[in-house]
Amino acid sequence: MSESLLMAEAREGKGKSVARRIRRAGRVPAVIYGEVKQPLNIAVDAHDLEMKLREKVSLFNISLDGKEHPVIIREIQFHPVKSNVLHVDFLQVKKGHKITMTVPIKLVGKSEGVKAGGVLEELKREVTIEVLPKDIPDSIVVDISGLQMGDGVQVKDLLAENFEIQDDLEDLVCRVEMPRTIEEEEEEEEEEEMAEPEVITSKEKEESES
Amino acid sequence: MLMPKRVKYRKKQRGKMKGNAQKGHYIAFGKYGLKALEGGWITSRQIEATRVAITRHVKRGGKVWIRIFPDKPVTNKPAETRMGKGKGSPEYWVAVVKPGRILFELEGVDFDLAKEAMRLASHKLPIKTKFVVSES
Repeated sequence: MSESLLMAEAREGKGKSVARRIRRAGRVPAVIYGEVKQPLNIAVDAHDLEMKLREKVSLFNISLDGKEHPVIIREIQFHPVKSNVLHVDFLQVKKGHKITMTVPIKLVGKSEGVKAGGVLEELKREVTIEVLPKDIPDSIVVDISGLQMGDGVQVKDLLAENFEIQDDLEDLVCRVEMPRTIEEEEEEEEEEEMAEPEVITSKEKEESES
Repeated sequence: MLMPKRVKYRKKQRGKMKGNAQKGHYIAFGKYGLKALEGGWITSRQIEATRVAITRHVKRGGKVWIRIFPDKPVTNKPAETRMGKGKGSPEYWVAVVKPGRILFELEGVDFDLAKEAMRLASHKLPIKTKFVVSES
């Protein structure tokens, strides 16, 4: 678990005009909720936050008006084109209280099936867990080097240390599949005629109604 | 080529393409993606050409997702026709794409192969695009 300090300041006002002004000043509007009585509207430094996100920090200590709030990220909104952070939802956590959150699954090693020409399909990249704040893992590591062609890893195969997995245990995390051959693709490439689709509100229907 | 199986109306108005993509702007299935940086109409032929370019380069292995669907009919009037006499007949289908939309996704290949496949794919499209990698 990685922990990091993030400086924040209280944010006055609401709405898009205030939020845009904050973003122009190089800060990111955010909110803290959870164990606090009232949600706290804050603003954090955009560059500082991006650096912390790259480090894959899971637990933050937000310093606000001389008081520290231990929080996790509940939701991040990104700009659809520029991919910069627009807004962050922080969930305040309490010592000894379990929280539900998602952690990424990290696949390590190259499976035997992939070496033999198979394709590794990742079906689940994150898993929901219930965990104490002090035990939050950065990721759940799965060794896939032993996977043969057609084999897969299920959620129940993940090593759950100090946390409980909330997802369906039968769900597949990844599997090694036979690759689709190029011949199959060529068949699909056959030129099709641009036929007109069926029209639901056709005139015949209208006539029958009247 | 992609087109709807059944539609409510044969013809549609052109519409506006204001703002950025509000959905489909993050990688949901694969590991690599091709993101639109401009808005525009992508025809079903362009989508098919792009898909072929990706699958040909990837050859064996890899899985491709097409995240856009051409559900808008475009009409044309026949050549040398006088104006008037109603709207033309549907000729082809387009997908309306706004900036930020993920157009294609790819999985099961390494970074360099995916990047090259997406570069070749981008040349089949009428808009500027960017190669993106999933965060998770």
